Amino acid sequence: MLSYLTGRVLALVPVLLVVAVVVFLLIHVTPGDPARVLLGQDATPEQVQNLRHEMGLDRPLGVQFILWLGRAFHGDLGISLFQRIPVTADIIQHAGPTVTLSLMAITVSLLIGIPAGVISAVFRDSWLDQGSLALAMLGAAVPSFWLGLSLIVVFAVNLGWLPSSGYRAPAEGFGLSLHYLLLPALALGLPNSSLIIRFTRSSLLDVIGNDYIRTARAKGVSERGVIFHHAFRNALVPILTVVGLTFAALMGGAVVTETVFSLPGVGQLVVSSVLRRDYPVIQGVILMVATVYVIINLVVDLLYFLVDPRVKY
Amino acid sequence: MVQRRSLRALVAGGGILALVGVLIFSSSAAPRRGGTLRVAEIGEPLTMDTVATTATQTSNITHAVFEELLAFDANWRVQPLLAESFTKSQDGLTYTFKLRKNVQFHNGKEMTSEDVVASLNRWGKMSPRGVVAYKNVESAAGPDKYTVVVKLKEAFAPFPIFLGYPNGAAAIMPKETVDAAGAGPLKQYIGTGPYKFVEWIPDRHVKLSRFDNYAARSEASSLYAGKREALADDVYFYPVAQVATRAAGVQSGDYDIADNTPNQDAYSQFKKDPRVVVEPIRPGTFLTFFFNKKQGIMTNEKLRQAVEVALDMQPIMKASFGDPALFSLGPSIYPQGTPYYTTAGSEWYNVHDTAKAKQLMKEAGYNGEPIRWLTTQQYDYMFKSTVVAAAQLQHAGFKVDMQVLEWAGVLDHRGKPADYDLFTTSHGFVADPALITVFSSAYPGWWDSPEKNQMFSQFNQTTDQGARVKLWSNLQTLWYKQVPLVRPGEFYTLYMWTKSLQGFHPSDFIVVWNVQPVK
Repeated sequence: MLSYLTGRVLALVPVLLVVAVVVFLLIHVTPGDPARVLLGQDATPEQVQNLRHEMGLDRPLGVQFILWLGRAFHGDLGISLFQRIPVTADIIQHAGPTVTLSLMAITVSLLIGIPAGVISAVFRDSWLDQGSLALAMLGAAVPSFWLGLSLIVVFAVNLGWLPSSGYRAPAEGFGLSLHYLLLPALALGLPNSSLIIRFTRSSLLDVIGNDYIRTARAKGVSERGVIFHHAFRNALVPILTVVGLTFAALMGGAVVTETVFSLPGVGQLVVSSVLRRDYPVIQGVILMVATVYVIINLVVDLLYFLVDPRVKY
Repeated sequence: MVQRRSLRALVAGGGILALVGVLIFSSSAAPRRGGTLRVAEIGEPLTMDTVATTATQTSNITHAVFEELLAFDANWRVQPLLAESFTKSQDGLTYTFKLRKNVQFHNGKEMTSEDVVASLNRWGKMSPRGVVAYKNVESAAGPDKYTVVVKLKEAFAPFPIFLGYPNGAAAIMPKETVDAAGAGPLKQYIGTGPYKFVEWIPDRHVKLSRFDNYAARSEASSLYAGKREALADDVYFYPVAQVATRAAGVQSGDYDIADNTPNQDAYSQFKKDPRVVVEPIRPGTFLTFFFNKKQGIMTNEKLRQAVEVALDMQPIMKASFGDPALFSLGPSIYPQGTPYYTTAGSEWYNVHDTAKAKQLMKEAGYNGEPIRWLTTQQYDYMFKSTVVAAAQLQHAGFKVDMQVLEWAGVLDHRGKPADYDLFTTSHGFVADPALITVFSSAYPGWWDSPEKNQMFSQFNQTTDQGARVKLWSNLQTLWYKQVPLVRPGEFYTLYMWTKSLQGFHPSDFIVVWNVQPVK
């Protein structure tokens, strides 16, 4: 177990190195010059040149890369070209909304997805099953920006129950923060629940077909006991994978939802940094997202062990 | 001397206006202080260093924090702001500014001539506009605590206009913050404005708060000039990237003001909503298709004229801006009602004559080479207008290679002569033609003809307003003849605000003072 863990953590290094090189090259190959963006369209070429020099962008690409990588190894991701604050501070600031939103969205998905999936499997081929599958299909098909804007129109503009956009940190009051995040969490959680419905259903159906379930039923265990004590726990492994992957993806920033609801999350940070060509921030965020992805995958793998003791490392 | 007399007349005029203002106000309730003003902006500002950029977003926020020596009134004339008064010598080479006394910076220090001189010098080095103005500046000095003298190398009539423009602004700040910044960006945002900078949390908000020791002018408020009063305790600027979210936010009462709200069909819909006011900003912005005049096929003037006469402006503007209330056609670069309105060169505008275009293409020796046209989807109207115009050109026999990039990509490519033949952008209304960046030979597209250079510098050196107007009409004629760019028409961006908001008027740069928030 311990050696497995060490191996996985060590494997992080080459992954991140490859990500670093690819990201660095990609963004420096893309046309666009931060100095020009910052100065506005009326700047003279000399001014742009001066600012490029000040930003260190006139150095050879190789030198820039080695300098950046060297500092990154020490945990220093550089300074944002625009905000002039350390990239790590910038990322931490933007991570708050993303983590809170992701947790809420996953909660929404689970609250809808698991019961609907279980019902679907238990009442297979009934109208309940058809209904929840139709719901799942709809959730997967509806674009999240449309869902987001519709929620805003109904709950903010017409009913006036919830704020249309913006963010309040949990530190400003947990209830207030929840109030602001409810609509975005729904907009993000509803479409994600459809995946969970389908996975729960199919994985539960797989398990239900097994011999030990038949044995349990033959022993006279109640249907509820069969489903929740015997089947569900074993069906959890694939569901856990989906939830883990979804959560990892959300942590990279739910770009569309964050934009629609104007949430200052990681997704917003990536988009605005790309538009401004804020190289250090783009590099930093992508490295961070890659790390989180790998770590969440690791955590999910470890959770398998908890859920299903037969899994060995 | 002439200057001083007209100034006195203006001050007297201001007095009368103030009186009228008092009469109007006395019939309604006096403005209430307190509350929070929430402004939804189109995105995150690039920097808070108002000197170093011409980005409108920066000006919108810093406008209430930093002040200039001069400011524009509703008739687009410069009025003193931090200056008490100013005079120009007979030969037009020396400007003397008398500073107002007891004007405090947000750090509590009194503004004196050494702060002004340091600020102006930084502006001359750092600001895209200041660099242009400072080409003519010999020296700036403060002979005493409340006097600043600027000596020019040669007459430059629009100098006061450059000093008063709130974009790429000649913002006055304490000498210490100027020194601390050195050649880099500002480290502190300390001005003399009615609001002081409190915090900037990236992607969350910029917060300003009332400056209690603000030294307001006594003249009636007029656009950016006159009395400024911080009615709201705090002002928040939120970056809200989605147009639909900004509009919904004002409807639901989450924001008081939204910048740049939807044009097109949504305009008529929002006009019916009793909770909000939507209004276009006038004068508007003009749409531009710029030619590369340094390299490639568009260096050929005949070919540029061919493009100019081929285009039909109505469908271009209609497709881009929708509602006819939101755009206008016409040859004048300056809108009707402004001193520089002229129809000079109109025989070249909106001709839409395919036969003539084909004739000019033939004369130019055009052989179907592709025209590389840079545009972006980041600004919806730039993309739509380019699509329609490109289709029209193709109909006339041009081959168009439309290259759709992000704005940063357009900015990058358009600076490289080998990369393109045309690019799309727009140019906001500016109080004086001297501020139109198109005239700069260094601006991408590079309009660098000897005739233009000669006429433009003559225009800038002429101080007599009548003579300037005449010279301007010649310049506009030259513009249409040499075709550095095609200008399909003018458009108006929209502001939306809650109906119960008092004292807000849409203008090029958001004015948050004298505005009474709802809550």
